Amino acid sequence: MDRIDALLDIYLESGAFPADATEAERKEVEALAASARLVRATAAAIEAEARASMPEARARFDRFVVASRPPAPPVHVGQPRRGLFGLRLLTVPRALGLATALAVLIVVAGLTGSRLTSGPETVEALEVGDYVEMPGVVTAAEGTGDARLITVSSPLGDILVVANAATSIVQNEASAGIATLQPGAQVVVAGTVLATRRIAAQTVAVGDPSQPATEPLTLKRLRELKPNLAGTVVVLTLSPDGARARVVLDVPGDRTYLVTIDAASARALLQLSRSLGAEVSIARKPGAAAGEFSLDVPSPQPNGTVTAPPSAPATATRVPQSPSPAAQRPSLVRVEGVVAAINARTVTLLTLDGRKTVVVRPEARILPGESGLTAGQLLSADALGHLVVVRGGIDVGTGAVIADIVLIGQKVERPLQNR
Amino acid sequence: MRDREEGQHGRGMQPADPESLARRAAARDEAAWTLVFDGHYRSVFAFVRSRLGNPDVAEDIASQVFEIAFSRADSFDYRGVPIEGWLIGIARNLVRDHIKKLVRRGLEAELVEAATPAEADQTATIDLRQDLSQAMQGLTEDQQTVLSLRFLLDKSVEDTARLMERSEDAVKNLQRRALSAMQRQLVATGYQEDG
Repeated sequence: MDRIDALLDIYLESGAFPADATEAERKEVEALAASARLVRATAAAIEAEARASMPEARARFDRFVVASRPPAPPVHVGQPRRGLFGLRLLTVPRALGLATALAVLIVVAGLTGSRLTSGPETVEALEVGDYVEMPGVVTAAEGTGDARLITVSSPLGDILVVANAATSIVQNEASAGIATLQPGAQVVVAGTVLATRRIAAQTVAVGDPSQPATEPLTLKRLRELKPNLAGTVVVLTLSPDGARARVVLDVPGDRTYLVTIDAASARALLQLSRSLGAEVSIARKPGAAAGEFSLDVPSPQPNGTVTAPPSAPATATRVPQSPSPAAQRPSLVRVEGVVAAINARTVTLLTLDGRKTVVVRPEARILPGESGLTAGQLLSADALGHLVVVRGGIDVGTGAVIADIVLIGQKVERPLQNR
Repeated sequence: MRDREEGQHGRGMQPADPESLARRAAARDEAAWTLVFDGHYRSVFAFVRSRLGNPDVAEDIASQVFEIAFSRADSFDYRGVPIEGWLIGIARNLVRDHIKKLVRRGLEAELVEAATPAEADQTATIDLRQDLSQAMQGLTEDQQTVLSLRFLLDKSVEDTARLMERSEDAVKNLQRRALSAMQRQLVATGYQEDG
């Protein structure tokens, strides 16, 4: 091997030269290493582009994989032969065959222990491209390095959750390692719905490590308002533009509904530190679109507690007296503050606890509400002075909050002050 | 956002077994392909992006890499080249074809980093990327590849040798010649590190 090749390799690896390297050799190698540093200096920007392009590319690949599936084999229905005795002789075995097939299906379903609830309402609850917040329990995990595929038993059945280096794992509002995603771990997954019952996780909040699998629920779409309908929000989804939202509402003593809610209700729900598990009641505004409802959502209080929704029925059975499962459930990180500075996708917020750095993911859902801004203006100087609520995870390297959801509020005259 | 090395030995986590993953990928196991995509997309994108001036084209080509790989999964010999090497190989071919098309159409300028700054870039980084992009065009394909693998994707000499199917000594030599050529190109384009 060439002497300079060897010296360059040593210098790139260790940043030092062997003692016998001459001055001329050192100069030559240092100049080469300077070029290497320049190439390395662009790596962060390219990595940022790669991460930004990943959701769209993943969705494209997902569509490709689904489209590549072999078509289901055509069902061949043979014409029964009719003859003197044929009708009787062939009908009996055919009936037996159908019964056998049915029995096999039942047995297979039982053996595989399928937990998929693939009814139309469940499918509709997870629309491709939607943002989703969903609780569950990890039942299996595979993969290594940056990429993990986690099976989560959820109220919507078993869901595959894809986690990678861009996924923030949080536990007790601090960043946690991916090793916490072990079978038995209670989780709340926030991410984007991919095809085929998969979610690309943006943030996973991890809680109790030894929970039994979650039982899937059977959903019914709520089409007409029922009197005094109130329950617990189990799953929340939001369309890419934030205009459409749905919740899965578990109503004690009744059933579980898939409810389409208006944007204002979604916003109110997302303001809470724990949207999942919130006790809400269903209402319908005059002039609302068919099948669209509004929620009476408890208001966040300064001390972190919530008040019951005003129209919730006053039945003690609906509001748990002891800490509810929702209170024990892991939750995403929530930060509220006034926009003080913006640098590319990094926003500095003035909060009651001081300055907080927030990095807005490329795939973050930005809800401008009645702020007078557009979603695109969040990262411009126009957003300075606006109150925002951010939900998401934490960057393990910098401790910055990683925004999955940003709710833009009104511009405030003065920054938040400690009360 | 997380440490790349962490958490590989968690309780209940299935062991890291690249050959098992590759075998499943070769059988078009969709779950395996989810892992393959999430594990390698950013590297493939970065490799392609380092050769082309347009991030949208890079995304398109990186996407094509996975589509082609999935389509040809049954021909992938998982006992030979690692999956990443296979994907990078497909990416190299696609980039080569794309560059040939641009050259045929007289559109070589599109290979150089566009002047429009990307949202997340700092101005100094953009200038540097434009200069480097310009300088890259004066390098051979192998030289560009070795620089991308070593200094953008941060691969070791050993990994680079495996991905390029060369000896480690050959990679060290190619790396030196590539950096030397890059240095000459940067000087020729008037680039100064401090400015």
